[in-house]
Amino acid sequence: MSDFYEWIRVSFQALAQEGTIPQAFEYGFVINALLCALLIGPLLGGVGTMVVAKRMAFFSQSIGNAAMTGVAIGVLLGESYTEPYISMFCFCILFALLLNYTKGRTQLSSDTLIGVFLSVSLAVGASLLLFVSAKVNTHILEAVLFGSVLTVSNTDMNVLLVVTLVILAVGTPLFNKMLLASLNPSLARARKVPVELMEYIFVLMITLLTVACLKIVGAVLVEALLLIPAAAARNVISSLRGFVILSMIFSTISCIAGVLIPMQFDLPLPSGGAIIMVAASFFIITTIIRATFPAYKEARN
Amino acid sequence: MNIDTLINLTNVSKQFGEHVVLRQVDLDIKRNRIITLIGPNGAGKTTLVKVVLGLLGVDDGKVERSSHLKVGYMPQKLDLEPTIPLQVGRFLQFAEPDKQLCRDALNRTGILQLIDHPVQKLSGGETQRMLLARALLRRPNLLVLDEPVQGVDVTGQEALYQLIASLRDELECGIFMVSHDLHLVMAATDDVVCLNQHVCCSGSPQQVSVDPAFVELFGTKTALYTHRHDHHHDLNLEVISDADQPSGLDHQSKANHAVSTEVGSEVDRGGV
Repeated sequence: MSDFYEWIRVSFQALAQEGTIPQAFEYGFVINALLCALLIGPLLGGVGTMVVAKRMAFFSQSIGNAAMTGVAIGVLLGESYTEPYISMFCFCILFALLLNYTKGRTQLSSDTLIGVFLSVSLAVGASLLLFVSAKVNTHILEAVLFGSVLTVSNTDMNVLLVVTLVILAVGTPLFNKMLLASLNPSLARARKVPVELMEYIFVLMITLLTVACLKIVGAVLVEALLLIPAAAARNVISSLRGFVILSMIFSTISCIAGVLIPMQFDLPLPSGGAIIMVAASFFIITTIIRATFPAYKEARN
Repeated sequence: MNIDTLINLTNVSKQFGEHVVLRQVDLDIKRNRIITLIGPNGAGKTTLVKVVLGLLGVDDGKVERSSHLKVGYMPQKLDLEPTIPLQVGRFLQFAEPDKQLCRDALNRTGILQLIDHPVQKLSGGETQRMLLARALLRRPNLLVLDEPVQGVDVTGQEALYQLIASLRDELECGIFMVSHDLHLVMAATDDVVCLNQHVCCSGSPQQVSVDPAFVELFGTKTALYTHRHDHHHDLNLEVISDADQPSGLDHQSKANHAVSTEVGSEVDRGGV
């Protein structure tokens, strides 16, 4: 796999030296980040529509926060501090399963419960991370929180690729069932859809996605990228298919632009921040379009 | 088991923890019959529906299902997240990928023109018709309708009950529905089962409405009250004159409410 990445990098670098594409592509890490963006974009955009449908935006936020704890535990246990994937995946999956299990067995409304998990995971994650960052390179903290294209390695790309394939393989055939289960559980049950199982599968999908995107988008911002492209798409579209596709397009453009713009203009911005700002501009533009053109209001409602 | 029987419940009991919800319930759902389940809140109606649908096991008693049983289920209400853009046609496609079958079903319930309409913007009656269309998709021989006229105005309710009755004739299916509403149901159903944990009484609407157990549960006033309009509306809300509708009442307003003192008037509504 790393030979393949190397081949892509060399090809891009050759093109950049000829002047066909921007100079930023002379750097290997920019190409790495771009490849990641091309995977992350459609994935977050597509899954984001489901997150919105299931009102689980803050769920993914708490997974992002839990990932911080995962990083800290990994570093404490002696994993490489740039790629503590084992502890991140293990901790986040346990956290997500616990949260989902509790959700079905409490009197609390789900936003209250997620609020509790969210703040606890933030408190524990931030404390532990600051605690261990004194021992290692402090750069890691920024990278975990807001994403950084500088640190993307072949391992990161492999992890992302595997996660993408898993989510596509599981999510695509189950999309209709999952959406029905979240839209109306009783209808789904009457159709023999295992609603609980769907919920757990979806929760695991979000968890894998969040951990895999951490390097590029950052723990604090994964949730925003799940949410904003879907919200922007919803402003101007009224069909389900169009909603998913447009959300994927918005998200992909945001990821690519968010990675490239800071490089091209030599701005010291974290990639996550830049990506979200681009996504937010889509949201603002679509909101204005919707407010200005009555046709879109009609189309939506 | 009788050849026309779709589902037969014998002596079925169900309890959640210490709380007994169903006690020795017998129920026979047949082809070509409309059975309506009525009962106060907490009577176990929803539990019984779940047992019929096979979503819930029973603690005691026997549930027999016909081997050809194919159930179409219409839920009580549809709560949809408004952020998800969903058109009526696409909603039906969750259940049946074939677009033509979806169109046929919508046509049958009279809302084909709404196929590209956002689900969240449907009126109460339109939503119920969409859910009914959805229940019809797999050509069921048993329709289970949970409060099919909820959120629908009185004229709309009448039209829906008519539609349900005509579906029964067309599909020759059994219909098992739950209702809070006592008046219109009495006219639209073949059999009534009055449930309050156990079956208080059952039979034809005329029998049940004078049954002491029913009267005790719902009171005499309720049982005998009928609501009458002296006119009908078409889909554009225009008033249609209804010459063969016996009114015999003073028309000071367009709509009339009359308290009938005899059970027979319930039966009159049977033709509606």
